[in-house]
Amino acid sequence: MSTRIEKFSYDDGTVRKFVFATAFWGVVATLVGLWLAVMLVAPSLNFGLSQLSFGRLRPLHTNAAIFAFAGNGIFAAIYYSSQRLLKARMFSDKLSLFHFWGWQAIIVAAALTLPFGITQSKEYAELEWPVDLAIAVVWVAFAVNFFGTIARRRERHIYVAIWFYVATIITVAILHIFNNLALPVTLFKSYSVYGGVQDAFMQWWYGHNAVAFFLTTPFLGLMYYFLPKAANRPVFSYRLSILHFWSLVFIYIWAGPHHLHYTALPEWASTLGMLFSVMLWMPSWGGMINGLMTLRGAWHRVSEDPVLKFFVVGITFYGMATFEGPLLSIKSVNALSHYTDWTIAHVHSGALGWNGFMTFGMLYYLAPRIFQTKLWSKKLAELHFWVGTIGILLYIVAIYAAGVTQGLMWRAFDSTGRLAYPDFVETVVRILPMYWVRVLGGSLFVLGVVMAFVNVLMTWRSRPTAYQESSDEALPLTAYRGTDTQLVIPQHSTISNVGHSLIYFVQAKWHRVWERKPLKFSIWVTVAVIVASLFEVLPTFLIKSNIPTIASVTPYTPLELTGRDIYVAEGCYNCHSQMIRPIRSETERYGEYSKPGEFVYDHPFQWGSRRIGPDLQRIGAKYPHLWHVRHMQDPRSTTPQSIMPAYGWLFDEDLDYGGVQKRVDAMAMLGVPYGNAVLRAEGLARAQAAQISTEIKAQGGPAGLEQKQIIALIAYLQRLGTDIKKLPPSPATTKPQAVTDHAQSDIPSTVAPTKQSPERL
Amino acid sequence: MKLSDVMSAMHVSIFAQLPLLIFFGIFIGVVLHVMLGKEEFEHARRLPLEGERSEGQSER
Repeated sequence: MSTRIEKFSYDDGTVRKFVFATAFWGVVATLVGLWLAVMLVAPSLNFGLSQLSFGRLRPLHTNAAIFAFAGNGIFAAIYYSSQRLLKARMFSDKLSLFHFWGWQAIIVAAALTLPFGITQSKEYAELEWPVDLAIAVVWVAFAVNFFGTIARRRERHIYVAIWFYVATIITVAILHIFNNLALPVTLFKSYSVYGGVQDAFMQWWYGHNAVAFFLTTPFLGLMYYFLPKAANRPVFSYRLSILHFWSLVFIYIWAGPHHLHYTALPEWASTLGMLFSVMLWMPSWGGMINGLMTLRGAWHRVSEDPVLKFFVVGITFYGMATFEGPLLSIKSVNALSHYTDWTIAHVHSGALGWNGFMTFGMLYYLAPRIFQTKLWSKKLAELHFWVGTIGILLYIVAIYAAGVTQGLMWRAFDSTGRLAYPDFVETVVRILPMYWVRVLGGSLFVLGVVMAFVNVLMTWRSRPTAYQESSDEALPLTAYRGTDTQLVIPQHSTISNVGHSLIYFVQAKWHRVWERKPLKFSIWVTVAVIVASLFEVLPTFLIKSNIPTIASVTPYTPLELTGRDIYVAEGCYNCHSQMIRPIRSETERYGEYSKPGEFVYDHPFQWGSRRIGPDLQRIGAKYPHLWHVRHMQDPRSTTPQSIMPAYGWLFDEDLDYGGVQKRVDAMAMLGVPYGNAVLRAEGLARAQAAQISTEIKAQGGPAGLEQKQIIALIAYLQRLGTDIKKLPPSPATTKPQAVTDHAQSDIPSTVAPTKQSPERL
Repeated sequence: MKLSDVMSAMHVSIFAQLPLLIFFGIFIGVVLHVMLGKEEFEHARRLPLEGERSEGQSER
């Protein structure tokens, strides 16, 4: 057994790169967010450019904030802290380099695709399949590098921060792979393999756990390392850290369905999501309490140390957001809050307060250490703290007020029992002053991020000519071999073997052994995540009664399908839902509530999560085609005071009829019953476009629109929510040959459904 | 018989009740674990404070 102390160095070059990337992308992400906030009060500021429209830019903002700013931040934290906690240099410098540049390339790819309408439309998973593949490759490289470092560590015990990193790496991989399973149509277009309710379930299983395992667990790991370091105090309770780690890992994964209360999701799944979400409060506050209590004996330093200030406020926001999250998951509260700006305020209190401030605290802690000089300006860091805090407060207070106002106005009835605010735009106009306050708060926050970037940059500029290598020394892991406590049963014991096993279990020596056996530990984390996921996924996919099919629901025609893809590309789901909840104020405003069977051909689903504009589930046949033409050309011509941007480019850009066949072929491969329509999709699309174009002209509209993208979008919008109003097709029309026999003038029913069964409406 | 037939025949409340039982079982196990062996955690909680040889300068 070797007991010779080994000397080794740390790779801080990679940490420096990630720190710069964090500061840089932080500026970009928040600037895009600010621009979006401005466009909500001044919609014409996209200057008529499709690439600058709200629907296309909003995913860029969310992806940049989560994966570029927070992502690079957690990588900086992981690369710095893991090496020191494991007493080992990263496994491979080449993998570290590949991870850094690969991740930056993915961010650039996002910036080059999302504004051009290349999107899957699944929130926080918008990137198309080639980028998804690249993410998987880079993530695997990161995982190999991380687990390789664990394998060659010199510290026997795996500290709790590393557990959180392990949970992050494993779970994000699982979430990313299964939510992004899609069938490619072209290089830049794919369809989700899941449809309707199942797609919605998978998306919010992913969406919620992206928050859990990308924005929570790695930041808790960050907190457990950097807070004790900055405060120079050991973590308050290691027991509590173990308790809340396992509770978080086990509970978080169940909570996704709370994003779909009162939707077409099965009731049991919704209730299960709510139940586990409420339970999440306990472990979340376990983390917050452990963080704040770690400062025992060091509170006097908070007033003079900007790093601790950022950490204290960050952890406080974590506590507030994780109290509010379970609250919002309660169905009766969610009925008011869902689709409103309340959710946006909740998200930003977590993202700006918890993720943002923890990241800034870490940056200010790391900058002097990795650049081996003093922080350029402590005063600027202090100023950043106050400007940022005031910015967050202005932002969230205004948007909380906007959200609650929206929710109450949507559900208000007058004394005669009718909607008090029947025009949706009334509820928009009322909250515009709060949107201006958000612009002010957001501007302050962005100003703070710029200060952080300048401070990091100037600290780097005052670095020494050559960095002194960070090094350490420790015994090799082999020095500890054979010292783990094992189950030993004395020869002449009066206690039975089962009794000894029970004592061994209760003494929990096994966990101490796990903590030293990362492979076993990782496997159990994986098991916890997969078991929990399967408990929800399998019934959702396999219980037939979950999604009763509707006989009159048929697949989209080729033109409608193409229009749907335009709807997806423009990011309409960012402002409009397609889900009418079974709540009286909604059925009064929008019409019949949504049924699970209406969405069986929706790959991907388009339920949305927010209503900046009204729900569109029953927009079909509500207005003549010409209304849509006028509305898309200039929304304020049909709805004065609307904040929707004009979509002039849809009238200029030609429709890609050549790509229609591929789209229909792909849908058919996913099981959508197109019958013989699959053989002549382009012809059907052209015929329907000509028919709609003729009707528009007859209504007094412009001629020649059949070649333009707008015609497909109108075809799709006019179809939305109309199927349940139709009579089910007669048995004869369900035969495949009926497709070719149909008259061209009856385009919407030229596709013959085969997946049919009676449904009680 | 398909898996979907089996799943459909089960009462949906089982999918909410069973996870709760599993969770509470694991929770009790972890509570028992953290209530014992306090001394062994002492080293672990101080791991971040074990300094390296050449920490960069800080203004504190």
